[in-house]
Amino acid sequence: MIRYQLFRYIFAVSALVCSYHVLQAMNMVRPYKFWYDPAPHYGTRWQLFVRPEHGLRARGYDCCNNRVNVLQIWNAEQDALAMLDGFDISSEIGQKREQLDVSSNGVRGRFKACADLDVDFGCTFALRRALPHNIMLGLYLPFYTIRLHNVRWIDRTLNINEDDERVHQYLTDDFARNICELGQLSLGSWRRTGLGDLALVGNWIEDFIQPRPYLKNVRINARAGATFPTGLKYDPDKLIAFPFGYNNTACFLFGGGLNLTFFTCLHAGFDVELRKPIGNSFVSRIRTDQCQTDLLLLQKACVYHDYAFQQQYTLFGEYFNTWTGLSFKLMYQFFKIGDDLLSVFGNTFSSRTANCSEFHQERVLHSIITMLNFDAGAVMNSYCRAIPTVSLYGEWPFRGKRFIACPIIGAVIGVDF
Amino acid sequence: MAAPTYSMKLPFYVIILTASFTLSAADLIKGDSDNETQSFIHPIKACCIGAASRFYIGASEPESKEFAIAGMIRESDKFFPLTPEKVNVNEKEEQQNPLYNSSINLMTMLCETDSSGLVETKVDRIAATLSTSAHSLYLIDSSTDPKKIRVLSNDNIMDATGTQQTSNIISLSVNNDKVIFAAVNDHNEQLFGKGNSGIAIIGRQITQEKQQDDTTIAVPHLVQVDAEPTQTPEQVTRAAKLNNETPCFKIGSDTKVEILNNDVSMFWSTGLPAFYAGFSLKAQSQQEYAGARAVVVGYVILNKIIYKKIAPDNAFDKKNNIVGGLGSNVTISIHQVLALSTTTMLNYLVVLGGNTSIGNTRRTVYALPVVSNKTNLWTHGVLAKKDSVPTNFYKESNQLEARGFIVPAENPGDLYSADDVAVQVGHGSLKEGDITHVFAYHDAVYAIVTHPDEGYKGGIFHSQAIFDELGRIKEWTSWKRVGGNFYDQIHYAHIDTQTGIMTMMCSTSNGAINTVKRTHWASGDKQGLASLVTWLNQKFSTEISGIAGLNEFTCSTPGLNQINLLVATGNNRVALAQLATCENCPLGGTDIARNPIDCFDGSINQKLSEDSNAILITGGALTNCGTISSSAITATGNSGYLFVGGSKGLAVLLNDKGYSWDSCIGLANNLVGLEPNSAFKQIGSYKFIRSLFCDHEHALLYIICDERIDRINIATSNFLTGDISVQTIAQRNIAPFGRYETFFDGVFSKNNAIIGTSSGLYRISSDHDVRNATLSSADLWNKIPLAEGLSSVKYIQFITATNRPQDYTQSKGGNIYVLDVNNSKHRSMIHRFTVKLNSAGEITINPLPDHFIYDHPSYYAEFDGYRDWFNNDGMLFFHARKRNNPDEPMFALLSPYTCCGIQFAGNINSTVPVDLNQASIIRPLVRLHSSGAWLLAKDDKLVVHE
Repeated sequence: MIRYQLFRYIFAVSALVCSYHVLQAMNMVRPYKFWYDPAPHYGTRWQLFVRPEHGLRARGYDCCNNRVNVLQIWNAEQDALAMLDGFDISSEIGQKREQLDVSSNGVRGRFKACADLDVDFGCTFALRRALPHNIMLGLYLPFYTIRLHNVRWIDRTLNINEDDERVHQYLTDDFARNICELGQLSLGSWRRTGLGDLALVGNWIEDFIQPRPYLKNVRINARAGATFPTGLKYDPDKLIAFPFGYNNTACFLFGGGLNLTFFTCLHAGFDVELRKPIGNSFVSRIRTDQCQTDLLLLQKACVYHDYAFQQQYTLFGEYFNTWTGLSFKLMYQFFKIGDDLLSVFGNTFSSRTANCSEFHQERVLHSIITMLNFDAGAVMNSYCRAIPTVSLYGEWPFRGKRFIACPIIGAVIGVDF
Repeated sequence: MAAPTYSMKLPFYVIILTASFTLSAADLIKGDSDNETQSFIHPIKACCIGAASRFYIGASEPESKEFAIAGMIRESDKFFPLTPEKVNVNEKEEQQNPLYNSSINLMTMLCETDSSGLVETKVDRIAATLSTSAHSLYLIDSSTDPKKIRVLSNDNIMDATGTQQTSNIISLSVNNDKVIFAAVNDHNEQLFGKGNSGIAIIGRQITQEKQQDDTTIAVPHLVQVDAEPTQTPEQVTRAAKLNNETPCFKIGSDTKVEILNNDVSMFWSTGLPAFYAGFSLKAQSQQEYAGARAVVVGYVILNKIIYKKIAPDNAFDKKNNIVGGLGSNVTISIHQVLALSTTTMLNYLVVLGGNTSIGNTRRTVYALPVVSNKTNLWTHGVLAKKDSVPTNFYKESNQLEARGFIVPAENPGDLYSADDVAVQVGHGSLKEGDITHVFAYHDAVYAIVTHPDEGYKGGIFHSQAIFDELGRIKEWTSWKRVGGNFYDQIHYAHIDTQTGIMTMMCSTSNGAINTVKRTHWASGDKQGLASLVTWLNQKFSTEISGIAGLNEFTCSTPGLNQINLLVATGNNRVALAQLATCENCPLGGTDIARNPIDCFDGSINQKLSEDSNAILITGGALTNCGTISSSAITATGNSGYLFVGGSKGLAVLLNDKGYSWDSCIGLANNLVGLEPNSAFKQIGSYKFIRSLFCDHEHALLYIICDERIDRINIATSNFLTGDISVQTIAQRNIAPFGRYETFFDGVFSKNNAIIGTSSGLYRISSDHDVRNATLSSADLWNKIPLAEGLSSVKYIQFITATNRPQDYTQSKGGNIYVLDVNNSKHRSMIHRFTVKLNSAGEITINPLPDHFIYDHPSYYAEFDGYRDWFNNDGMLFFHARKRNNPDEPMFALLSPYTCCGIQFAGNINSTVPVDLNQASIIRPLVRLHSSGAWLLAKDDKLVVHE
């Protein structure tokens, strides 16, 4: 099945790259995606490129790797009764729970939440400068506009007895208003536009030419960098309003890889990148009861978020034609974020309960990335001062865990000078 | 107090649950008889209870063979024989069993703790005497394995001389685990009290005996010890002398006491510890100040029995002091004594009988406070001074350890008299008939009437203690029928405190006791409520979530004419079924739910046949009421009314004259009074009605719904035209109630009202009258603090002398048990209060002295999760929770060890054997006044415990 999807994506991207311009994506709104960087040209000092993207309809992957709606990645259903648990009885929410005075029968107070998440547009501006010792220093600034729309809350409460009637009357029939009153949480659509995190990355590249029959060159690269919190922050009052970066914190990244050149037309290699965001404190929605579901959290509290390591592994192969400047690259990428740790400030709420949330458990994404490049340097006169490059790419997530991902189509338009 | 090991019991509950649903209604426990209607071929008489409610019986006539003594365990529905022909007797194998095929006269139980294995177990050892050998005592090691049954015997039980064998052992009792007390007659006398009668101590003694191979083995013996405290130069084994000359009986110096019969009742009080012996005696004296005491207190110190007067001579006055009395010719009959330790940790002596000046002493049960002060043995166990204040005893850590009365009755007026309601169990004599047997546990006393008076039915009756703010018993509830068995002659009963199951020894029509029955939760006994339960289950099916409300209205309800009526309500429907023809005549068998009629369109659209006593009404205005969960019946003038309330509205049954029926006529036997063309009509626009409550005296209907409490003046309302006189007396979002306030429960008693809401327990303030209060009244509701509480009162149970909740302000005031919950944090607890009336009629509501730590008032018990309701009868404390995915629904009993000061008792629950697999909702448990059966409505079906 996966193989079938993979081939389907490959064919699809082939078609898309022909019909779309420079297109964009959302997935992980990651500030820095090294694999889209155009290869620098010998003799140029600056590289300027822009990477517009567009995301197709986003999909989610739940904890069992099933493909689900984006609002179901953490819980298949949302429990509006459990939402009211764990509160002091004198609070409005505690009183609301007493007002309901019902228990769960498996469907009572449960919702199937669905929505469409679209990354309408995203764009990354990048400027790179060649430094001595084969070092390229790059500055990346992304920008996104994302919208959640067509939000549907499908009430699964039956209408059999007075408990069901109570739940309808007091909670679910006017659910959005009740949630807004109790927890200032908007269950509706949103559109968010803003910058992502600024990234500053230094990349060292060194070629080792190989006098061998098949293997012609070994290129080693290593990089290090950091992102800075310029991105739009997480909005706790909107549904899955994720940050466009690392939510007001910096992140360090380290990486490196190997690129082997076979014959005169094939590249193959791998890349490893590790990221570690710095922990920070912010107001987040937390669980107050272990049975709660993660879209319906009414309690906001200041928490210290200790981010887990992020690991990214990429394997790639590339066919290139030296004479025409065209190349086609196929990548497989595995991205994993470990379990984050929340520490709630004060003694009012339990960190242990808060850490039962699904949204900071392990997250995984498997993607196929396809890329068609045209490097004008291959056909241009070597005395030209500026060498343009154009790439079309597609990013095709096919498996994941607790992840929202959308197929991305985009382009890279750059110039070396 | 050791908590039981529940994990071990889980498989047993599964077995009993399975068993209970494979058996026919009202289980007949099988013995040696193949007859479907009796357990044993031979009659039985004696019985005793072992550990884990194991039930043992003794045959009263020979020809019982190996079933002369038989036992039954909780998990089985069969007796196993305990007297095989050949057993180990006195450590000799393959001996003729002296108990085989014999008639058992007396039985009692030594529950010895066996710590020899990995797990500590209780071993049941049955002490028995034979009719044919009244001077011998036998002790059997009980076991379902015949090879493990061992018999010890002692054929020479001595009287108080120590040299002569008693002529007769007339009564047996035991202390905890080691000692048997035997009341023995003089060797030459057949009547206790004459000559050298007394109480003997017999114990199971183990000696190390050398074998031929020089090894030693432990050999048990049944040994009588010298119980007489007076010294003797000879080495003799005497019973402690107790006869007509014993000073404990006499008041006055020249009084002559004569014990009248051999009905000597002995009871060992574990809580004190001491034993009580009760007698029937008469006293004659020429002196002015003379009389007799019929109860003796006994202590065992170094295997010697010390007798003590139950109260000093001075304490008795001219009144009827129950266990004793003054007079030149006084007769006092104490037929049975037992001891009670209440949940407020106070000790009481319970006696069946009293001074014969009251008439028939077989119908009165009294509970008298006794001193519990281990630091002063001279007063320990004797009657306490009337109205004395209990003392709390604490551990060094300030934890409550014990409570007790420490001031003995010493002077005239210090003793309760038979007229004091504080000591009258059942609030007076039991009118159904003479009491055969009494048993008690914690706050409840049960009495068995085997041979009822004409026009009455026998059975088991119950009374519950009502406490004052110090935890003393201030009153008892009136006798109320329990057990559900009103059709058999019951001679003995026992309630298993772990499961609530009742085991009964019954006699057949010829009078012979040869049947043992056990109640269980099922669809009912064919002689009991089976017809009713079957009919209701048909009409309130699982698809419509079963029965949502059950209400029994007794004969005393205005509007009912000599009938008890059950109103069952549910989804758009109401069922009426007659339960009794009068207060004392419960219906059962084919007489209940007889020829039921179905009516549609919310009206009685067909004529009731003359022999119908059940009707179901569906549709019409009831459709607009949603799930109907409450009902109320009342009458004003000649107008009787039936109101029902549900999740979507309130409705009243109306004929063309504007009321439900003419209360001069009905509702009477066979539902006479219900008129054709009467129909339900919706009133107002109520939603989520929790409860309906009628003040009969003032023709008021109180409607408790989620968001408000309304009071409707029935007399001034015209329900036909819709001109309703209604007044809101409490409302959400109006002080002191909050925006999301929910009204859960409440009871209205004359000018007073107590309500439970999502923010706590409230009472109407003392300067207001709920009958005319309005929302504009300032400070209408006062909050009652819940010590260490959660503050959402979901359910309230009122214990009142009349057994009617609305009478909590009557007599001496009732007790209030409150279920305090926090749905959001899955917690719940019980608080207890007492209502106190002062001389001006003002009401105060005070907590009972429940606490764990010195000077920290607290709750009574906390559960290990959320509970929807509870039902406490003083002995059994049921509680339940709906299904709350993924948790299964639960219906359990609170640990029987629960009492004030016992921490974490609410975490120890035993599951009641009811099938809850298909259930989600468990409605509050209802005990019918008519038959005494428990009714449990679940959304899958109704079950009855009888």
